[in-house]
Amino acid sequence: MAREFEDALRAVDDAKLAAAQARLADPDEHFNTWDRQSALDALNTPPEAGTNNHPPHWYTSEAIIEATDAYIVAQQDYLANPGDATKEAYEQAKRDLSEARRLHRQGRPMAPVAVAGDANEIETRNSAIRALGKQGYDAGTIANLLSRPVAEVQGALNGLED
Amino acid sequence: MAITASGLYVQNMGVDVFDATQLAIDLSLTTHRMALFNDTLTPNFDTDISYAVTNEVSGTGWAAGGVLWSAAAAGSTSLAPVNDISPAGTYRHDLTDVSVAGTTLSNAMAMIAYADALAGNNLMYLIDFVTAVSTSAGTLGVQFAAGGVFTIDMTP
Repeated sequence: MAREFEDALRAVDDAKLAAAQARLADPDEHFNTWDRQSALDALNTPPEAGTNNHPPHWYTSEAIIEATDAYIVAQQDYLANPGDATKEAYEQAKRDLSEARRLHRQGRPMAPVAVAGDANEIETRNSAIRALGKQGYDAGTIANLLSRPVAEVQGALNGLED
Repeated sequence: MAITASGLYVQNMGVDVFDATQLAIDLSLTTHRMALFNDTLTPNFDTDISYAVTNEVSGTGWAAGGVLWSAAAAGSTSLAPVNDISPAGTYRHDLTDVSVAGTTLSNAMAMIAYADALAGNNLMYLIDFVTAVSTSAGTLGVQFAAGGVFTIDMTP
């Protein structure tokens, strides 16, 4: 390998380190904006009264928030001090966050989007109603959230075990 | 003239990342933005390069230019982008679901992820909502698939 090319590669490595430092200091990066408590508070806030609203737990979970918290720390450590140990911790944090997302997405209610009356749509909607019922929402609140008749919501909730 | 599919912007995400251009797309950054567009947009995944305001949907709670990835999850927190291997032999890009509260928006048909930190505001990918979405003092939420935002099978 030519000496000049080796020097250029070393310069690239130096530039990467400088870029990582700049990234860590960027006020828009999540290292500087992440607020675990804000995420947890949002998770426990009832949906807004406007249209197309669903409970925050349709989009995230406490496990995802905690895994994100650890992930951001691990990523920050790796960028600040790249090496085998910080890389492995970063990769482990990725695996943990991915697993938290997988578990959440397998069990979460999906926003009903199919044509009204379609069997799959009805089942999707009923699943969403039951999931909200398990979260402690009453029939009236769920009916309001999903813009469905209270009787329909109550019917789906009747299938829930006490 | 319409949005008909989701996709990656090939010149940016494929060609210019891998060739001598060495475009610095880093999908772990959270300075990227999500911008919304109406169905008048006609994306060309091969030739479109840069974010442009034409046909963009914006409103209360979602400004023109889009929302930072560091603030687009519940509680104005990070989407926490993860790039990994899943399943074996497959690159996966994933984010926490988008959930932005307090929005009033009309007829968003797609969401585009672009690299705001790059001088070219390079487009990365478009997610087709299939059905136009509106909100009124409500949450704009996007649930991603269990398998991730997108995957590329590197060992077909």
